[in-house]
Amino acid sequence: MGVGTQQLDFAEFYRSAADECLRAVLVSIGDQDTARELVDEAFARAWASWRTVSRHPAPKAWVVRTALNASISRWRRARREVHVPDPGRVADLHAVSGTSATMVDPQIMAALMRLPARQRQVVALRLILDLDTARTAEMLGIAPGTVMAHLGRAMTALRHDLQPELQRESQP
Amino acid sequence: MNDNELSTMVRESVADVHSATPIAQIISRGRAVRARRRTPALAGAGAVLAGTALAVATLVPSGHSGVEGSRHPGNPLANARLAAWTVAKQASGDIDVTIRQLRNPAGLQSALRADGLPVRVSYSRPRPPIRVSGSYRARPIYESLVGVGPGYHGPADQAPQLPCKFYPTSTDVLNAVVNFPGGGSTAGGAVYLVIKPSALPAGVGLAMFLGGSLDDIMLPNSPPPGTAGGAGVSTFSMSKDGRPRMVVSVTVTPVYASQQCTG
Repeated sequence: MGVGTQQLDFAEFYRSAADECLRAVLVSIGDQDTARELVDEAFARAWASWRTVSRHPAPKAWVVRTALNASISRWRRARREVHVPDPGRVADLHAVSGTSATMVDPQIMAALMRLPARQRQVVALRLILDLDTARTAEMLGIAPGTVMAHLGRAMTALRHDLQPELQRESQP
Repeated sequence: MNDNELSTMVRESVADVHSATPIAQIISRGRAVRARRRTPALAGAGAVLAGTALAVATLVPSGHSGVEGSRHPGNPLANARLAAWTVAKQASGDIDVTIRQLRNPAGLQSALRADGLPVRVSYSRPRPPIRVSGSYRARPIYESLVGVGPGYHGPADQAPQLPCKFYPTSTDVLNAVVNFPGGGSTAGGAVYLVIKPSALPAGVGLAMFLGGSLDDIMLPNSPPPGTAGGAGVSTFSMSKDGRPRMVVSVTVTPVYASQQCTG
């Protein structure tokens, strides 16, 4: 594959996958600016390894996994260039102040951020990227049964968190 | 609300989020990633040279194993130059540190302390997970030195006695003490940082962690609000399967200075 063809191929992938990947990472970490930075970096790495990534069975999942790995490593090292704050706290602040960069439902985001990190990752891959259980398990390095358990717990917690809000909204 | 309705609600909550980064910017950044991958070859060459220097040094009956240059105790501006790292004290009192390999941390600690920095240098080495009555899993180096982190699941009163105590401080203070010029890495894949001992608050030192695996470098799970857990830089190479592999990682975190911790 020539460089020009590769670039066209990658550009098409980027156009079709960038929004979805960004949403999945946002659901996982809760902060839009950080999510954008991480996804940009992940796509840059995807381009740098495009010969490999283009043959990956789920390249979108590769990008999201790479972005989340970068998020974890940056958090662990508390690097200066990207400070990943406590996601729950950020989401709650957004919910209070309504200052998120793009219109994201603050109550739902706050509820997502109250989930454990692994449950958020499962939600991101299963619901936002629409991966099946087997592929999600493969990407996260866990058993398919564990994916189903995480998703089940996450749905229960979200329902519990959001139900009162829905009921309030439905009242006259 | 059934699962389908809930799933739809979650999807719709982020439906207005769109990536705005131009493709040209991503590709340009990708080229930079490719350029960074060329550093392992240089780093590898450095490793060979360093190995040679160390091997030669072991044949010489000297107290400075691995020393390429020499350190002059009477001259505070002298450099301690080792194959794995370089420490150079500037006239301003700032200390330039370049770390190329995870070798001889005790020597690095001695050199830094000799330059007036209260510091504890630790590094990770391959080891099996630590288990005490099922209370531990693989224990990151940070936990073993400074505090009980997210890997500890046992009762608090059974937590190990640790030599250092984390000093909560602001990012501004930490930035004044530790800088990573040029992003903190050199063309050869080494980590480069500058430490300003004069900016350390009284009674405070630094714990420096050197590692070759992300799992070995972990800062406090939740540093107190408004405080900096630490600062660090890692250099990576990229394996053939596209996965990043850490070459050198250096993390610095503030600790209370004490005889037990920082000497």
